[in-house]
Amino acid sequence: MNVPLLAALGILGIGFLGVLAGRNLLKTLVGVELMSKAALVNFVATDAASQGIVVLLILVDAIVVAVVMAMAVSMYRQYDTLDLDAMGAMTW
Amino acid sequence: MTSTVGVAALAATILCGLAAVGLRDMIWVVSALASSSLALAVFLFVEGMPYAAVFEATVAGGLVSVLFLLVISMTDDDYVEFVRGRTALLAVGAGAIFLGALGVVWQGLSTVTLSEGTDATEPFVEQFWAAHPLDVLLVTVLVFVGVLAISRLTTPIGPAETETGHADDPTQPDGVEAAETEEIA
Repeated sequence: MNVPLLAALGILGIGFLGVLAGRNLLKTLVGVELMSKAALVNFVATDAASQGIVVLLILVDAIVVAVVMAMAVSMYRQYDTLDLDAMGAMTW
Repeated sequence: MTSTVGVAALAATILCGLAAVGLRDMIWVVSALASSSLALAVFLFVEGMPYAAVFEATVAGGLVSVLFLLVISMTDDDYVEFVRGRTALLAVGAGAIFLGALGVVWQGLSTVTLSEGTDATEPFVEQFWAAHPLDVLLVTVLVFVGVLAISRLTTPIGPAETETGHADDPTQPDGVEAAETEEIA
């Protein structure tokens, strides 16, 4: 039994649930962050010599977070809330 | 083979991730996310990736948490709600379907092999990742950011309609509407 792969799947599921169940934009971003961590664990589990790409993944993830944070601030200035339901878009 | 410390670190990562998704106070959410990153850093260190562990602890655990706290302080939106009722059931169902489909695709890709110019005995997944690891990663991130950007740019402006009863016309300069009203009077 490959424990890291199972853990990656578990973290991916938690992150996906966070993306779907959160109404707040920042909470959705937390779910995306967890899904990114799942991908990272998957890299480690499948290829032990992938340290370079793991570092790259961490840095790209930080850049994505910074971009989405900027979008969140912009949306807050426009709508005065980060509640996705209140904004009436990006929800299902 | 993962050591006991590695398994414990992964368990802590999962627990902290659960807390980050389940808690409602954003300060605690960010704390749980940072704890999850630190536990993951321990796992990376145990697995023989010290540089990746340092990056995970400093960038994901430190910088990203500071960014979260900064945005929370700027927006004063630090207490969140979850979807409820039918939408919550749909979320759980969609999550289960997503994970099931992921497992099916994973198993399917493990059995498919490329036919021309490659070693037919090597699974498709290993051949694909051996040839295009960075491409796939960057394209995935690019698609994700693109979807978010398009969703944001195509969002209709809602609050202006609810406050004034009609949407402001961006093509009309200020004062035009008032001047037209005076002419009618």
